[in-house]
Amino acid sequence: MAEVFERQFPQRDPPVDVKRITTGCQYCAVGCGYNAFLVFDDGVPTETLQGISRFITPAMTNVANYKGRRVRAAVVPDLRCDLNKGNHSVRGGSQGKNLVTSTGRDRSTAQRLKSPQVRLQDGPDGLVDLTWDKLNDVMAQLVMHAADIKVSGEKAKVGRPGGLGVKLYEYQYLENTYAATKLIYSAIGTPNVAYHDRPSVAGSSPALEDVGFRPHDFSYDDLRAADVILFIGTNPYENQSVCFMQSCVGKEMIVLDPRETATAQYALATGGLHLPPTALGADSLVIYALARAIIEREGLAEPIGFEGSNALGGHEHPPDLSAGQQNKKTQSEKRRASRATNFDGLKQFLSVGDDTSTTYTLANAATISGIDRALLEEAVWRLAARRQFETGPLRRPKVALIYEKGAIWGFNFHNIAAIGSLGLLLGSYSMPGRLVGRVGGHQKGWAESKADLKEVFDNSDKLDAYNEGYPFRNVVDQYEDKALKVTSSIPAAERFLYVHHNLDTHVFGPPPELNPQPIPSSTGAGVVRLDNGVTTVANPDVLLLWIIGGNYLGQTNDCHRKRGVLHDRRTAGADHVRYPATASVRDIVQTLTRRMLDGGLVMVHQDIFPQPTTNEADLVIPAAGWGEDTFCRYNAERRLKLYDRFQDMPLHKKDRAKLIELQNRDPMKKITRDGEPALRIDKLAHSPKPDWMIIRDVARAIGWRLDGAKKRPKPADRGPFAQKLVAAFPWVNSSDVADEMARLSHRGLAGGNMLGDIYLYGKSARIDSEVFHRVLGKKVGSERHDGMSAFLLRDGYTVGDGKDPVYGNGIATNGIMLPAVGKDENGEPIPETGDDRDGKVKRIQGTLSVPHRKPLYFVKAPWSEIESDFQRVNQQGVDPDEVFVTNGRFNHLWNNMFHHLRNDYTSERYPEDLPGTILEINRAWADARQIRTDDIVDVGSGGHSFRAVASLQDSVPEGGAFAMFSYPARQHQAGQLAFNFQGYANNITDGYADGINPIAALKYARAVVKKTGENYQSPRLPGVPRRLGPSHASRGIIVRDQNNELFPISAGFVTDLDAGHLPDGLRTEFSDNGTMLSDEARVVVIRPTDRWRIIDFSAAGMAAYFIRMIDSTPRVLSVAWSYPDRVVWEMRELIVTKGLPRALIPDPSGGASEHSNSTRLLFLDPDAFVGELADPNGHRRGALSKFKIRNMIYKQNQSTIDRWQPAEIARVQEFLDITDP
Amino acid sequence: MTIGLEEVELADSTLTVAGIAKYGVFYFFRDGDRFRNSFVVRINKEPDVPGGSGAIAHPAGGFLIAFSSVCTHMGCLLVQPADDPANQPPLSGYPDELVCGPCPCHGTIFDLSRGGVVVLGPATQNLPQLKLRIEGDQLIAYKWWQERPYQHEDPREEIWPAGA
Repeated sequence: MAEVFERQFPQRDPPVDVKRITTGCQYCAVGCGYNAFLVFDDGVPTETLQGISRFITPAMTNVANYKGRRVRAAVVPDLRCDLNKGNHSVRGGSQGKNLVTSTGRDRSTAQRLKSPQVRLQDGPDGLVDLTWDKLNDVMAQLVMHAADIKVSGEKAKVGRPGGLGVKLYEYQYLENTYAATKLIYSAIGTPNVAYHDRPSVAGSSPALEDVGFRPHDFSYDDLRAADVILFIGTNPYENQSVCFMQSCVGKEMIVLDPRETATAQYALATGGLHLPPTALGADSLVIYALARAIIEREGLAEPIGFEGSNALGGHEHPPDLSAGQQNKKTQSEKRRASRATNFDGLKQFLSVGDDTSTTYTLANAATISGIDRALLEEAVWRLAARRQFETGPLRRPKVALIYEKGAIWGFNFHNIAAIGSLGLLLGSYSMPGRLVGRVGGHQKGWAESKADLKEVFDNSDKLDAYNEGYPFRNVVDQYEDKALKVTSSIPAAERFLYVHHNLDTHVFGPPPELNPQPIPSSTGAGVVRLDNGVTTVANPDVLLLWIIGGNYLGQTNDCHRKRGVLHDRRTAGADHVRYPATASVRDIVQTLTRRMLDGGLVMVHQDIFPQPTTNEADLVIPAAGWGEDTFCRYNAERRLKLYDRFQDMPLHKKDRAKLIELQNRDPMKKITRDGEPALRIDKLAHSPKPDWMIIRDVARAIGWRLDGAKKRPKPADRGPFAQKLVAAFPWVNSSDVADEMARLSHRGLAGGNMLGDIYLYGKSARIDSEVFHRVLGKKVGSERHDGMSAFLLRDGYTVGDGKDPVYGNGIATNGIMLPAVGKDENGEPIPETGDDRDGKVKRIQGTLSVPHRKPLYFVKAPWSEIESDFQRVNQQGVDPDEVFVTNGRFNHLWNNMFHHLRNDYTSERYPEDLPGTILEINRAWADARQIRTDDIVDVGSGGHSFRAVASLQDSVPEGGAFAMFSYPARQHQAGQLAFNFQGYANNITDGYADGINPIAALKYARAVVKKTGENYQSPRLPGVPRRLGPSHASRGIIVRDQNNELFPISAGFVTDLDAGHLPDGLRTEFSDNGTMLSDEARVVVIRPTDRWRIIDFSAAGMAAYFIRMIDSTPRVLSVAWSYPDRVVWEMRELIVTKGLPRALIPDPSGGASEHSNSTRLLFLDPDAFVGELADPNGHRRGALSKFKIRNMIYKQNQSTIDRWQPAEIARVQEFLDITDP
Repeated sequence: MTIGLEEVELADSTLTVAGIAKYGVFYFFRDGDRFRNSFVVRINKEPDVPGGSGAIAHPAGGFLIAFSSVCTHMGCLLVQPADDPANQPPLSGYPDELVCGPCPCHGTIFDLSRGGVVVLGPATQNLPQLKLRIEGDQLIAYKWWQERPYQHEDPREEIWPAGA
């Protein structure tokens, strides 16, 4: 490839006047390094940019604005970034098209929110512009009313902190979340806060932390060293593309996912496995069953990795904490006391060796999940059996277990507890190749304020008022070192900060699915207990809901019902005027305050684009986004990165003129270090501001309103509270925020530093504190984070020699991989990086926890605890058109698609006026119901529904459907696109939130799919399925009967085969539990009256099947992944030319049982399908020599060899030319 | 007039047989500057593409369409000349669909029946399509397609340095 690349794209000289600013991809958790190149010449044609990188596509370029100047801009993946090395995903590679542009061509800019607004009536025209001054005043008064903030002596007394609810992104930069939490936690102290994707500030994986790992312990280098990767509920080829392309390809993959995703197709095409469940939420059962089978089949006397060696850095076997330690005080300790266990405890929990206990057997897991047992058997072997890899002695594989939202958004604690326990059993401890963790959704940008505002705000008695309503049960304190101690000696504010509190119930009330039952309350407050054990309020009590980023009303689970509640609450007090009559501060505050007094809800939406949620908002606040201010955050492997500012936010038309005037009047007043004039955004009346600045200004307005002032005072006229709030929120630029954040965000250990929040472990975080303080603590007054830049310029973090025409300023885009692990010869802290630069940087080997000798445990999460919820979620209705409906993301589309709803590239594939989300359904299932691609369907469940456009896909199993997550319905109204809620897949999802860790079941639903409209045609959905492997169904199935006559059957026929509806003379036998060996492989075995044959229907299926079957003997075949057809030809030639059968199937009459290895493999008669193997074009393609056969080990793996008959072994030996090693 | 495509010469380039796809013969522009690393596919049915498919009728039946063979992700060759028998065209997994890919480097799949749009994978630009015409017994590729909606930007200037 490199040669092609050099030839095609020679490096050329860059344009003369080009400015390089480092940034990172704004989308997924991989966080690839990018450079923004700006050419300061309006007349420069775009191709001038050619020289700055060797491969720039139009999607990377645009015309943008930088500090008021028009520039040619290109956002290009950095060839010299250690992380992506010039590679990019379709999302990252098209960021240039999503820049704020002044050309007028780009709808994405035109649709940005450009002014604060207030709603005076329903509908898209009901919003009226406000100035920032008015908005700040209104927000201050509403917050004061909702939280009941009044002057009390020297302090402001917060009487009802929970009246303010905040939905806040967890990812959109550390500065913004720090600023927001300083207001909502440090000042007001509301517990009603939730991250963007969950109803709480809950960790994604507390169960993993109970095991002793953390979800981002590993690096992509670690992943690259794996032999086998087990993907659980994640589709990284489509969604974490660069991580997959750079670190996962070439590995043996096992994919647990209901769909045959692109990742699963890759796995199958490269000899991996796909384990497709047909029920949602059985993951923990399946994974525990794999663990039990591994222990039994491999005869493990201890966990892998503990075997008499020092592999765990001297760790001893985890002690059994299950008994005798019930007096622990913290919730995590309590949880561990009842659930954590050692290897003996795990065996007992799984009933290893006990044939009478069947819960965690493979057979039971297969029955409940719907995954074929033969595939589970195969997975057991692949995960744990000793094999030969490349050269070298026999060893067990290095297994990486990677999970994402498929496991997280659902039965969270149980799924992750099982995954973590299997990881521990397999010796996967975040060492190179051996790890458990997440590939991540968003990057990480959460810094929680620990600032002390007790001298200003008194929120100390909030606990008394809310003691019943905000119970402490099921608290998940992620940070053991700062474990919550629920005692009265802890200040109330502290308690709230650590409580994971379900915001949804406080805004929308408890979910009826969970059967809320009133319980007695000493305070008389309405308190209910839910079926999953959670105690919460009977009636919603949030009065002001402030949504910062995201599309809450379309993305939370069960959101159809929730929007109904919201509507009722927003129209509470029908006697009163619903909306302000005018946009005056007085009218707005009076009307909305009156609504709150009536128990109603006021909603504020702060975002960069309008979303359907904006349609329901009373106030709209425009924010600045990526590249429009300087920020930092870290990626899924803990690279702390600088997102420098390289473009202006979109300007309101009134501000454009003002900006020019300001700059003309005093252009040199505020000059930054790079010689460019600053954009005086704080002087603009309407245009978007960064979130930290919005928070700052609202907080300051609370100050002067507390003083009783009627309008913002001049600095000299500030009253006492105005002065205090300006002192508390003093920032002029984001560097100021970063500086304070480095000192005052909580959860760190040394001096209250934020780095404890970067998923770090105790002792190393002390060093990190120093690093981070050095990095961000050098405020030098420019708009840049000069401290960060200075650090990045240190040796090891620069590129080029300073003379490079493109990389002249030397800043790399690698970021700093935390935690630091030591100090260099000058006493400077050294961060962890992926490589060892001149021996200066020492990388931690092994999980971050191991060096600190944290104990590791297996965690018990019994299936019985969630079985009833599982049954409810999967309860089969009577309607034959009912399917399970899950959801997720597509390759091209990012999250709520704030950009991707609006750019050309996406709308080519997913038309901008799609009347609903996209529903992928099984082709055969849809065919039987006359549903075609592009038809409009209604997906309904329990009175709730969403609308979708059907897309027929083979990747979705029969009986299932897959919807694009968070995809609004859109329609043209008066020449504009209007969004509505009808497209949201989460309209119908279950109301369940995990009882232990409050994360919602965003993926689980069953619904009836009905066609409601003909053929949505203009423009149509892509006709070609999104898939990495060849089609299964389109190939059809060729069956010959005993007379060797062709008997064409379609995919639909497979179902008939399964049901036993067969033509006379044919008989089928499938795998040992009576189903097909694999729906995915579509390998059906037909037994005519007298002999076996195998019939092939799908190239990839055939290849995967053959490879799997041969692989289940102790042999691994290495094949080229991108040519599955050729693989098949080679497989066929293998069979034909050698005259020997290698298609091996378990003998259905072989008497295989759960606890025996007696499955016999049958050899097939090659003569039976020679005729089918002839190349229709007469070509003999491929040669056996291309088939690299390696790893010919069999003798050592007795458990597998036991399945073979001696004669068969001999034939295989002869066939593969194996000599006994 | 009979044009056996195997014998067809382009105005400036020699067509080299690259391989046999399920739906037709697959040719590769090997020589010449401007359209180097491009290919022609002979198909049975004209694709239905808004703005025109770019296909021309083959005198002996069927249609011809031509595309660049350079993946717009990072420049890998999607289709190789047939010199190396190991490099078969990666098209035959899709008998009913006119799809090129997955790219051997990173898996991008292009839908040739929709003007080369990316179906799946990391490429951010459609596969550039060539305009074709037949003059006498010569097949001539004469420009990159620019006007069609799916090819909303001409990649030529920025991606393909002419004569590089």
